[in-house]
Amino acid sequence: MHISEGVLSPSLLAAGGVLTFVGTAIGLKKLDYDRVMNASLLTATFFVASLIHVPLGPGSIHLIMGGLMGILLGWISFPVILVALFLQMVFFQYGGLIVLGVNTTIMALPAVICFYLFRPWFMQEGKKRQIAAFSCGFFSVLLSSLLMALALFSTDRGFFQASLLIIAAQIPLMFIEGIITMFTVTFLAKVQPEFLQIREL
Amino acid sequence: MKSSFLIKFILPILLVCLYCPFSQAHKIRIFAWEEDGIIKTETQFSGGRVAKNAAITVNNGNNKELLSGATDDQGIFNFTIPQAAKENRFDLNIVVNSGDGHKNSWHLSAADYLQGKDLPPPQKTTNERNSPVCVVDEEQLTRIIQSTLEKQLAPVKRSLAEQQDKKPSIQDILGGLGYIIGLAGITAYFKSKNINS
Repeated sequence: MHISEGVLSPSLLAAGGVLTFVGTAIGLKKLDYDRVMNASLLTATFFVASLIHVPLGPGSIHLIMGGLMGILLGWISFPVILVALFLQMVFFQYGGLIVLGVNTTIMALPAVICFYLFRPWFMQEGKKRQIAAFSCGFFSVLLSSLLMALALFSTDRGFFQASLLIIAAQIPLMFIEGIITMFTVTFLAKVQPEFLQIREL
Repeated sequence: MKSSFLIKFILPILLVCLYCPFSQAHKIRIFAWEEDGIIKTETQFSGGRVAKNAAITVNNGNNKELLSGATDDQGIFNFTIPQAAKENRFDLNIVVNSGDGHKNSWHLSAADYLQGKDLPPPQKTTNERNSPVCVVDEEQLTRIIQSTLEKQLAPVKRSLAEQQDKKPSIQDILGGLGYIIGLAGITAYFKSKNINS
């Protein structure tokens, strides 16, 4: 999910930068004292999760945890993902500084969309919350891969085939993220319900 | 209840995953080294999976394309050193693009791939052809030693090239986590000021 430097067109890079700037500004405004720890814990999760490759079939997959972040943080996903991607760029040379805006938008925008779509269900007890958590994990990966495919396709029409492959490649991850988000939320609701901030929001 | 959940839900997903021939990665890696007049390149994704059929472009120092091709099933692409590069002693910039947003390059300087390649071609002397005793002069001896050395050093060169692109280490990970804790502290400090005021 990290687009490298020198692949995308300048106009797209600028658009990604602007969206990330606006998203981060809104996110920082919404970030209050009580949620700083939640946000930083999820930053650390995002930063580390993408390092753990699980070999599966001929390739390997890794988690993104965008759905979990979206449903718990909403707009705060923007600064969280921006910081995590920046640190991944500095320490692991993933992505690049110029494409940081686009990469952040690709992962954070779906998280925000999922927040608005599924948060009402998430507030309710039982099955509905589980379904909302699963959907969040599932749709955040789906929307991210769609955005990434769109970014590649709008830069070069020749990327069409590759764009379709990207979406196909993410299908297993959509289910896995959905299940893991669902289990994480169920577990947190039992042992640490205040982390989910169900009452305050 | 639990076993039926496993069979109905998780098993199909695992099967889909096992049959899915693609996967995602963060980064594509390429490394190249010279071996016996041929430049060998190897590409792989950050998870260690080889990059099949990725486009490779070889440019000179001024970004002028010298040749292009694609990697095979093992992620390998080999090419003989282009004549123009040999004559002008170009530094080569080998770019790989997997087409899914991943791109990387490897810089191979002329000094690296032309080392010892400036000897004149071998010339058979009349003395050598007629005499039953093989006389090896200094130049031929150098050539023999060089070709043996090249064969012996090829795996070392490959491994050196591979190691230049370092993987994330535990220090990197802990360093990153440290930054996150620090940033959380700074944010909490400023946000707490707002509460107090």
